Amino acid sequence: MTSSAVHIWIIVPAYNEAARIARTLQTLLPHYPNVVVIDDGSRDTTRQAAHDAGAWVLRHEVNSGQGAALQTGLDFALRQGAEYLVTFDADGQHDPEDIAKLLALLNKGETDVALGSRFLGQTVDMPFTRKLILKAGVLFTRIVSNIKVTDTHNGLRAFTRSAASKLHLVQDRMAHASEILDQIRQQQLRYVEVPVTIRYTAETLAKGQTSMQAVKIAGELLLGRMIK
Amino acid sequence: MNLFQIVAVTGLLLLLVIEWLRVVRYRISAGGPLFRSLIWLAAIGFILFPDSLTYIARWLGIGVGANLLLYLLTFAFLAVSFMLYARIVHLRRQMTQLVRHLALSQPLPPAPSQKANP
Repeated sequence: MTSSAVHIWIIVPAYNEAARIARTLQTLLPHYPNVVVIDDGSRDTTRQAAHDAGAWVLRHEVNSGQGAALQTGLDFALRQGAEYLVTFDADGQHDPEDIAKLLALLNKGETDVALGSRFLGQTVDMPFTRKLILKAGVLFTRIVSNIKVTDTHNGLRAFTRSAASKLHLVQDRMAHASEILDQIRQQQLRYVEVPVTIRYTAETLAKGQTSMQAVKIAGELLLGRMIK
Repeated sequence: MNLFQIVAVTGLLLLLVIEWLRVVRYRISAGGPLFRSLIWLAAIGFILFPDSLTYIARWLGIGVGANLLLYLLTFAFLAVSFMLYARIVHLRRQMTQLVRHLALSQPLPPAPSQKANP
């Protein structure tokens, strides 16, 4: 742990991740002591597992979706005085060593947001259908949000304090990934994509997006834009 | 007037009276009641003069009055569906704000033995 790690907060939204959250936190906490898990109304023991593993825990009493959980985590970390805020999936699909790559770019002051990209980096055991869905998501975002990124639904992102304080996610469910990109463009934040590794397992795939869910997310995003 | 016309027009007139009684009694904005009153009045007109619907349909090039009614109902269904969806989204967002507020007001610190940097 470095002294600067005190100003870094890792935000981990989690829903029914009791079986995986401790393992994920064990890889994070030795390097980053400030980890906050947002238990998004889990029906299992995610909250207790995260607490026992050494993380701060915030509990959504009602499942509100990953977007809401991320916003709660961002608000909490900002209140704690975070200088750098990193979002990280609970299921262990990210490589904790990639965080340093993202933070290094923020630290240089060259960018406000660093976005992980599995398509610039590498994937382990990604099924072909998942790749197709994600590529369709990239194309959709380019058309709808007019922002050119190679990976729209990567949960590993890093923000400076200033950038994070400008985000106000209202898309509660999975449409938040596109909403974050929308707000990066609207707020004219500087962003850069960073190659990262995503590791797929049977567990992560079981919780991932199906084709129908992807269509639903696109619908939610478009309708959500029409409702103020 | 046939029996249907008497019952339907009486019901619609009652709705009109209730709309405007609410405006007077509770001093609410007249925008909504005015919009609905126009719909009730149009309905009364079409019920009392059924041929008028066919006349408008022909004028619009639709031909049959029943088809015009079907199109109008389809548009109304879509509009109402969207309004209800918007209402649900608003309620969900309000609930999310409440859920997030509660979560932020009750943070659970790390277990003391585990905290790496107290």
